[in-house]
Amino acid sequence: MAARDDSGRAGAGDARDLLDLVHDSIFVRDRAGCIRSWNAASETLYGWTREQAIGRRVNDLLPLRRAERDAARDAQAIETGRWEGRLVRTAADGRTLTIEARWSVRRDAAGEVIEIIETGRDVTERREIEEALHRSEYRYRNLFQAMAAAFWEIDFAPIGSMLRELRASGVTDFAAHFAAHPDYVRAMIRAARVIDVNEQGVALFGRGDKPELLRDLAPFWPDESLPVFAASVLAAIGRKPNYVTETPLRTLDGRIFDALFTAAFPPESIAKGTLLIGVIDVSDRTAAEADLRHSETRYRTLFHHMPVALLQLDMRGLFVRIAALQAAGADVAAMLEGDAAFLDEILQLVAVDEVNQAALKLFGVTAPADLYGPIAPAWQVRPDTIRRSLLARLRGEIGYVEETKIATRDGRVVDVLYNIAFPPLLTDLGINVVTFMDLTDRVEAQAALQRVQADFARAARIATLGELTASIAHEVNQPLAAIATNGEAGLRWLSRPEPDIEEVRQLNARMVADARRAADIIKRIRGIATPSAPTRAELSVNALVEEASLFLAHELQAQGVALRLDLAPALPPVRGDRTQLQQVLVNLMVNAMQAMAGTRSARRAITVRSRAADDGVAIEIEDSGPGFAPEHLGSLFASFFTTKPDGMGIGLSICRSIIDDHGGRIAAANAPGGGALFSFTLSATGSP
Amino acid sequence: MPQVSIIDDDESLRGALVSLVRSFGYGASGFDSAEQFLAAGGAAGFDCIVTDIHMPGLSGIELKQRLAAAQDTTPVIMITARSEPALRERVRDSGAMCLLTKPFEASELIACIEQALVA
Repeated sequence: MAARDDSGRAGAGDARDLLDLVHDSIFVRDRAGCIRSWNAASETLYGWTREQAIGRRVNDLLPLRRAERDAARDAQAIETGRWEGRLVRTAADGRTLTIEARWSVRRDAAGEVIEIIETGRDVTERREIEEALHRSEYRYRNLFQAMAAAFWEIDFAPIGSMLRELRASGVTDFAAHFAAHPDYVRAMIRAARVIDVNEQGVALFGRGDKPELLRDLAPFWPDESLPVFAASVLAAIGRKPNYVTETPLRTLDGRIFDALFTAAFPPESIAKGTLLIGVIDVSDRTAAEADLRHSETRYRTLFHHMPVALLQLDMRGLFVRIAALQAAGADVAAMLEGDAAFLDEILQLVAVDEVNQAALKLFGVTAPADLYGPIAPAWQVRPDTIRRSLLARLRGEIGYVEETKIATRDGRVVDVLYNIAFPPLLTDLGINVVTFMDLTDRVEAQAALQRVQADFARAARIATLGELTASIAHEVNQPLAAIATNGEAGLRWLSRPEPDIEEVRQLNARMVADARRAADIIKRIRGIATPSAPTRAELSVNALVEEASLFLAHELQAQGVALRLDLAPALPPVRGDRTQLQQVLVNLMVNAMQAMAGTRSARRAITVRSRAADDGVAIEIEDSGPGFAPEHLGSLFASFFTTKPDGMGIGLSICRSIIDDHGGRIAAANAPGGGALFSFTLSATGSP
Repeated sequence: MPQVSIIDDDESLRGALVSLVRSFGYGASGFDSAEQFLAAGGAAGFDCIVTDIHMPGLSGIELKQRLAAAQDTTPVIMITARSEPALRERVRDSGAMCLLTKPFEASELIACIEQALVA
């Protein structure tokens, strides 16, 4: 409301008087951008009087930096009714001002824009400070936090006189002159006078007495830093805002240290004939001291606010006990391995003496004191973790990590990632810090994923069974037919006038064997169709290949496919799930058969090879079909990719997830002979 | 005594068939493949051939075709565990006398053999 000045003139209305009391610049412009109202703060800020400003277009009066002319901004302001941001404008005297501006748009009853009110504040100085800060932060972010700078105010006037004389004597290239005449630079250093120094300056350069620092710069300026002084002078002459470098400086005591040196030439100082020098000691010693000062605080802050549970353990009792045992010649590692009572003792010897917020939550307690004392209660489910952790420390390792379970104080058992570090410094103090990350969600998600994968794999197996129905029926039929025929023949021989018992005995023996054969086939099929949690057992790859071949024998024969097994003897056993790995082999062999079914290939053959690989066993399945189109090779293992008209495209993706789960790799390529070649690896049980 | 040859790669079924045929008073010899049967002298000396269709190597149908090509008219009875109509047609085309689908009754097989011996 106060901004309303409908007259557009420099009247004496209440509104204008009010505006003049405001420290911020406020002006009003109409839709065309013409200034209609201009308060006293605007006059001060921009250097234009009310009379000069009213009626002028704001962007003519206060030119924006080229980069800031932005029609979109105006459009956005009109669209949304407001805009806030920074503008860089040129004032009446040519100064560049950074203005933090706020626009609000006023409309009439019909929604037409009447005027835009701009409130502005000069943030030029703030911006420069911000930029300087940003620059220094670039390298010295931490140092700036850690320590204050020493500031000097230097009387530059004597140097100004020297330079004017130098120019009068015909020297035009000051830089070359300084470089050629170090004595001249020394003379400038002697001419410059410290007129003020802050507390940090006294602490850094002096001996506690400020007046002794108010003198020329010679004691502070080692010769190796002469070029820095020369460059500072050149920067001042060149009207640079500042000059920053790193250079050695000297204290009154003669200690030379590395300084971050900043010479600043603010216009006010130049006018007074002075310049400002800021010095920060960046030598290792100071940095280390500062680090030390801050590390304690930082440690506390980190400890208490880390989003993982942290427990600080007092290990002194344990260390004393171990040292005593070792002194007595005991094998502590062996005791840990073999003596359950010793482990119980350890769980009582190590005590929690500090915990953070996350630990309270994890262990289900409200006060830190609830967790203080022996660590035993947390480890009632899995004390073995502490045994391995301590063994790692005895071996001289720097830390130990494992997934384990802890018992909380409110009776839960939580899956966690346990991590203990044994840094020598802390360990010497008898302190170790343990972190726990709650893995509940991850473990649950993994379990769910495994269930889904198992379901998927089973669905795929059943789909494979479906594809093999005819073959399976034939396979089961075979022993059943034999049993029936043997039985009938037996009855015939028994019903003869003179029963041939020997003949019947043979027939019966065959019937028993056939019944077993049928049962085995049913067992194999049931193994494939029944849901079961994946298990890990030691398996022979060659036996797996032979079992899968047996399963497919009838199908292979029915399709006229020759199967060649090329299995290396004496392969190391692998660790895996029998059903899943058979599924992979069956899938790949069925795939091969299907790939060849569509071809007129005279010789349909599948070769399965096994051989020792780097750290396990490699299995290859090669067919004599047409191979893969090159563009399909990359996506074969993707879910729902299929080249078969009625395929679901899950077979190969399941093969891959099974092999991945087993820590192996699966790959597809075209064989040198032209057919498809699938290969996968499985780690030997002995390898990591 | 009429002689019957039994060709089947399934050892148990082959033994059962030999025993069954003998229990009816015929002579019977078993072969585990068409190749073995041919190598042992083929149809000579046999009045009837009972053969499985799906076997490693030569199939029962291929055996019948070879015999036909050699002007051998010994009647052939085929047995199979499969039941596709197309197979039935191929068996008929091959000139086989009977097709039995496993499992079959002993009486069906004997009826086929008797029919073959009459022909």
